[in-house]
Amino acid sequence: MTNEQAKDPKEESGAGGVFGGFSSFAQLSQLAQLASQLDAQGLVAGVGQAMAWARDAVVAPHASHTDPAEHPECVICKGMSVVQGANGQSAETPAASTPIRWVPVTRLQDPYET
Amino acid sequence: MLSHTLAVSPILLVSVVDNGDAAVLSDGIDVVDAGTPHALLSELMRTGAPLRDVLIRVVSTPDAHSLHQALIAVREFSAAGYPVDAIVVTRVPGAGDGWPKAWAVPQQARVSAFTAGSPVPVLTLRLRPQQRMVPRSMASTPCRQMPKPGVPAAQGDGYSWTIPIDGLAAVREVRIGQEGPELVLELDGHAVRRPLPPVLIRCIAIRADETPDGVVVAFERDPSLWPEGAS
Repeated sequence: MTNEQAKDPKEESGAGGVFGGFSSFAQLSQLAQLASQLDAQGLVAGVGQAMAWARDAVVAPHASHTDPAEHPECVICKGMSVVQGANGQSAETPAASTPIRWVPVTRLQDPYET
Repeated sequence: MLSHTLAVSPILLVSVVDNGDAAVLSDGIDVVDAGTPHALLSELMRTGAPLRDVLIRVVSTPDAHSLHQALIAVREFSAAGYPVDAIVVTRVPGAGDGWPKAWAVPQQARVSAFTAGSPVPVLTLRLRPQQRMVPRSMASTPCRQMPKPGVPAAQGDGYSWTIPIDGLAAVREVRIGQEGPELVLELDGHAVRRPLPPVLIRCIAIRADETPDGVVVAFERDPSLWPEGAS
């Protein structure tokens, strides 16, 4: 057995050593301990918090915005303006169905005649 | 189901009354129960199926309400471009079949008057509960010569589109309009939408004139959609 192999792995190995990037086995084990705490439950809770933040900070204020052009500071309005611009639509006038244009109809005979 | 039946079935039965008569008349091969008029028309308008060599017949009973519904179905199918071949009135009490006269005679008279004024041929099936109601004529030849579908024709600087509509004379309120690439035909409050032929999508409907067979809708070119000087 060489001297290198005989080293206690818990000893500091220095940068670029066998624990590459981590200065000691102790630091690595701390990281492993931290990672073990990130279980599925923790991840779900984190995503839930992020969603709640997005709802309160972005979606709720946007609910009262009718014209995207009037709210350049709103992330959703800004996105809608970009998408509508790409589609050739005006941000101020959302696409709406055209009304029926009725035409005069000439009857052969008055249908109400008896 | 429709795409399968279209290839093999010369007759589609649509029933205005949910009494199972269309199912009884159907043999599943040449004669098919296609549900209610609304269901079939909706599917045809959604898919745009051409329905070549397929006959549509409306099945009704002799009561006044059902006969009226049958006429509405005939108009709507016709306005949508799918003319009905005939109306089949089932459960008609025969004169010599021993039915109570007080009950049978008014129905016979109603069916006779309806047949005389119907815009399409009427086939009557006598009320014989113990017999299968498939007459031999059911799966054979058409009952009428179908109106030719109108095509846009150049007229002056614009176009005209002839649309055959069976039974239009009996319609009290006729409204015709254009909504984008569709023509809206509203007959006594029942609206049918027809996709405009390509050339008419670039035109504006300006008026409609009733003819004995339907309507002729006049269009003028939409200047914003026609290149200047194009003819």
